[in-house]
Amino acid sequence: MPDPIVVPRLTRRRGPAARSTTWWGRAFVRSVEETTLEGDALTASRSLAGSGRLSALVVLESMASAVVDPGTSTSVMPQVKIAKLDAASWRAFAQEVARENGFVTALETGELPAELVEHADEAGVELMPGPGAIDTACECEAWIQPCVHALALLHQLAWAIDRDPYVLMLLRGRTREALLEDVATSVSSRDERGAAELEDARVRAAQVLALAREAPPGHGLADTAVASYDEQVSRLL
Amino acid sequence: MSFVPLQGRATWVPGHPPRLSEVEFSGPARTIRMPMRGAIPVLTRAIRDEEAHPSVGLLSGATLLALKLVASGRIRLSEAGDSWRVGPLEPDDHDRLRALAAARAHGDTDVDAAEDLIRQLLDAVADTMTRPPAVPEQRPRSWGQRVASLPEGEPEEDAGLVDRVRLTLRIEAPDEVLEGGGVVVVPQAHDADDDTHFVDAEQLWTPDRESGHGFSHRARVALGLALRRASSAWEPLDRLLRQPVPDRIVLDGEELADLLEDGLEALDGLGVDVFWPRGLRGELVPQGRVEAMPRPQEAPLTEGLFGPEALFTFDWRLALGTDVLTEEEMTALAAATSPVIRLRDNWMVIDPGVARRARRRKASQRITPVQALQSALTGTLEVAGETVEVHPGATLLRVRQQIVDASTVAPLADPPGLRATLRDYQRHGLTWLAELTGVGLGACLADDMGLGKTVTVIALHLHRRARGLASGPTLVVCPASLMGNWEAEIGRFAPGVAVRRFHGTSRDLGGVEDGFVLTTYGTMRVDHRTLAEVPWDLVVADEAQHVKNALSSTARNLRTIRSRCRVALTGTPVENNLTELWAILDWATPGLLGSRNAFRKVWAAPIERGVDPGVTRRFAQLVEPFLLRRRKSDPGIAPELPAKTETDHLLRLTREQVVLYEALVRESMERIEQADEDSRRGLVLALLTGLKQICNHPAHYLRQAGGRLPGRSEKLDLTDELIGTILAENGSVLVFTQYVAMARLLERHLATSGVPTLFLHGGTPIRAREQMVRDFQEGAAPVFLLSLKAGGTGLNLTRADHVIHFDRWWNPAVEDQATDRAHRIGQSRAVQVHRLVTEGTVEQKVAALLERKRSLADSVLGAGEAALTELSNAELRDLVSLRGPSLPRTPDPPGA
Repeated sequence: MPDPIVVPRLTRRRGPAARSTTWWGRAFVRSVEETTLEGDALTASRSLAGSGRLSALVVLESMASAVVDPGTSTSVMPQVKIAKLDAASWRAFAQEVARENGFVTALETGELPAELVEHADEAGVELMPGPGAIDTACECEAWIQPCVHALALLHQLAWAIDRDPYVLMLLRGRTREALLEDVATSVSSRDERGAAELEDARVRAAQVLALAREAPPGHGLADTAVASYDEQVSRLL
Repeated sequence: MSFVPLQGRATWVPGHPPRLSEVEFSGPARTIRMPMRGAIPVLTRAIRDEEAHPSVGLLSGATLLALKLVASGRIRLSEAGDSWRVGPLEPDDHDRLRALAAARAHGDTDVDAAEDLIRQLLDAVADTMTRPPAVPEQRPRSWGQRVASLPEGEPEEDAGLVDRVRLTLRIEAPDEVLEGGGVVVVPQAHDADDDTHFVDAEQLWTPDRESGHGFSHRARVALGLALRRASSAWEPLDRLLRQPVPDRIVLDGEELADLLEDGLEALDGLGVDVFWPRGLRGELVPQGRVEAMPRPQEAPLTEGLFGPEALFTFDWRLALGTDVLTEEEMTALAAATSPVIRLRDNWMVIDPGVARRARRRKASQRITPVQALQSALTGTLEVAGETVEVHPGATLLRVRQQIVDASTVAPLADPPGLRATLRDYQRHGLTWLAELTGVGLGACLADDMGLGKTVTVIALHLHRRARGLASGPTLVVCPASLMGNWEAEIGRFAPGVAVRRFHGTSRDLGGVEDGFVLTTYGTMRVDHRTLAEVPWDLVVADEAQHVKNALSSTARNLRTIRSRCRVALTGTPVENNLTELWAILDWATPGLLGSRNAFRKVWAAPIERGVDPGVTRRFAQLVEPFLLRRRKSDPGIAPELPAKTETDHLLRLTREQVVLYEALVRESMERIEQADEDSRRGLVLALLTGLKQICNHPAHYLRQAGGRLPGRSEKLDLTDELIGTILAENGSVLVFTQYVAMARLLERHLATSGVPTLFLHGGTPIRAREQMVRDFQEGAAPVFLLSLKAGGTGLNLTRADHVIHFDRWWNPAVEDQATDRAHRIGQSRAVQVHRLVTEGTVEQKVAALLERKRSLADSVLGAGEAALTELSNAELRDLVSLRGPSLPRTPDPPGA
């Protein structure tokens, strides 16, 4: 397992500072808000998130957790699980990143280019987790998930994502390093792209030509030689 | 498959991508449409079927050609990257393709149609034979490996690799891009610590272990950030960010123009250097030519080349090095739409600003004589706010040489009528003034005081007449205290030349046609309209620092007085203050240095900032010919100077002094005539003392310890004038007076103008004297006031290079002794002695008596003033009464 990202414990955070400042952070918050129907819980969770009562966040591949009121008898640990993107999706996403070198630069400076996410969407990769991709659990005794604690954790995750989109990537199953490596591979193989196919085609074309030199004459009507020739050639195509 | 009919027509059905194309075989019984996979085996063997339809033969031949091309690796990805194509084709391949088309053309399928069909089929076969380009396979790796390849987690590999980079841009200019009016930009990454270690940015996108470029992964991110900054400074670079690898972009003509106009500066602000191929950026420099226009009719010679009527034309073209473009090339350049132009068989990138100037160029424009002169002297000309290098035409070049050489050419002979032999440097000065005024230009003679500026100007006056250059009188504007001196020197060196004063109550210019007219700055300021009516030949501004403030009414009114030429005289080093220099030279030669504001902008500000030494040099070139300044200490001058120069400054009494003087004479003479022998002697001495005090200053006689001092005595005003010049020369001066009271007045007066003084009198204790002498010799104060008979023997004051005798001792031996405090044998510096004498008073008459009867004087005056008590009443009255021509002057208005 890769090292977790640890987001340091937040001191109190209120008012406008408690809102996400980036478009991707706000998009994440929207998904979070759609996971619950309880407006009260949302309000309560936002003030809990900004109250300073949560411990540092631990973000793992597709997982995050924190402790509310750590060190007290009432402490509980909410957990969030975000659906991973599969390997093919990540490959496709890396290819989209590789299309423009400016994308990596943006990611490295803590920005998630809207254009990149749109391109990925078009390629069938939804980086932003929808409400259905978010699952929560908690030690508290609430009947309904997500509970206030889990929602508070999600709010804090949104703030962490504001500052570093790689937190979102990790929640979706990819570390920064793995993503950058995929991108690098994608870029450096662009010139060699198809080289294997080309070599393969070259060999097969030469084989077809060799066969053709000995091709059977005749019209091929019920001619086994012709039939066998056709079969051999098509196998090489 | 084997029942495919070959004798009928085969039809090509193109598809997209090409692998989806089909072939429709037709026969008498049936028609079969086959995909490429099915058609290829059939077509490869159909070549042997001699009865096959020609259309089948065409497709068949083409298929075999396609296979041969694929087998030799002639396949590439399509532009879109979604399919394969045949290519790139070699010339041989093209030949084969065309031969095949020619051989297989048939029926309604002509050679061209056949060739077109073959090409489509080639691509279809290539695309069928080769698998679609795959998404690169992700080799599975364990986490351990992955972590080991992280940029941060890989110290072994990263060791010694460069992290910090600097971005530069290299311009490449292949002919085919230049033809399109553009260039190629290639970003480069430099090691931030070693500028010589650099690679194309593209290299950073391949790992170092493959290419050995020496840069780390982090360098790639750092370069990405640099590119982002650069693209926010200059927008077209944004396209680099949008590529998978920022390897290169092509700039079109418009972008290139924008790069040259704004981009380079913006990038420079970020420290991003742009490197151009050698010789691509045409260093086209504007080069101008100034010519004197032939005059419509031969103007009188006296007007001078730079007279107000003179005409000059200016023309410029761009030059490549020293090679001036032709008129056609200029036109082509002006018409170019892209910065890339072809010039003299070379491609060149031209700054849009240069092209714009070429478009705005006027073939031949008129410029003023002063502009022509400026250009001739500095080699540059300001045209529409831009500096153009200029080559003067033949006429101008000759004049330029004349002006530049004016102070060094073989000197003129002393003009006829000059009752003096000019010293060598004075003759040079005269020659220089004659050359400049001869071409209608003004000049500023700024020699040190005592080098004889007055006599030089008198010689110029005579010279212009001898050469027939002058028609009209010479006006001298000077401080009132110098008028007497001018009059005396003209009378002495050019006897017979008319001199009149335009001053005080005598302000008559009637019938003035020649000679000298003397006036003061104050009178000129008030009465400039009267003065402006005279057609002056020469106007001289003596002590021209009086007009250094160009905005003062004195300076403005002086400008309204027109003359053929102007000469400014000053003993202060005006070249040290640019604004004062401008004021004086702009009066002497109006417009030479441009308007005040233009001067500040073009010359003063850049020179004071000191950024461009070229500006200072050009300014010196421009000003040098108009400013002649020799110092007493100059090697060529010093030997010519006598060790001691004595000047009598003739001064007039102010109205206040006249009233006091005449009243004292009237009252005293009455009492003297009635007095007995014993009391007469005392009365005579008291009269003489009183008169001398009045001549010194009314405040001296009236024993006023306070109150206003300037403007009440020309002696005091001239002393101010002299001390001002001496201080400007960094000299020092001894001021002698017989009277402690006068010395105190001077001390107080100089203190108010901030001049440090030392004051020694008979009552000063010996020890204090010695201290003062040491202080003076060490330069503690530039002015030493002495009121001590004979200045006290044993005082060695050799630091002084000027001596002022504020009043007369009536005893040459005493004066000489005093003077000798400063002038000692073996002293390297020459000493100038200034004797202040009031005209028409007892001072002057006794002095004249001494001159006339030297021997008598020696005997009579050896005993000092006491001898005068022996004179008869008539003799005494004659000696003390104010003499005729000395008319009192009205005090100059303040600020004159």
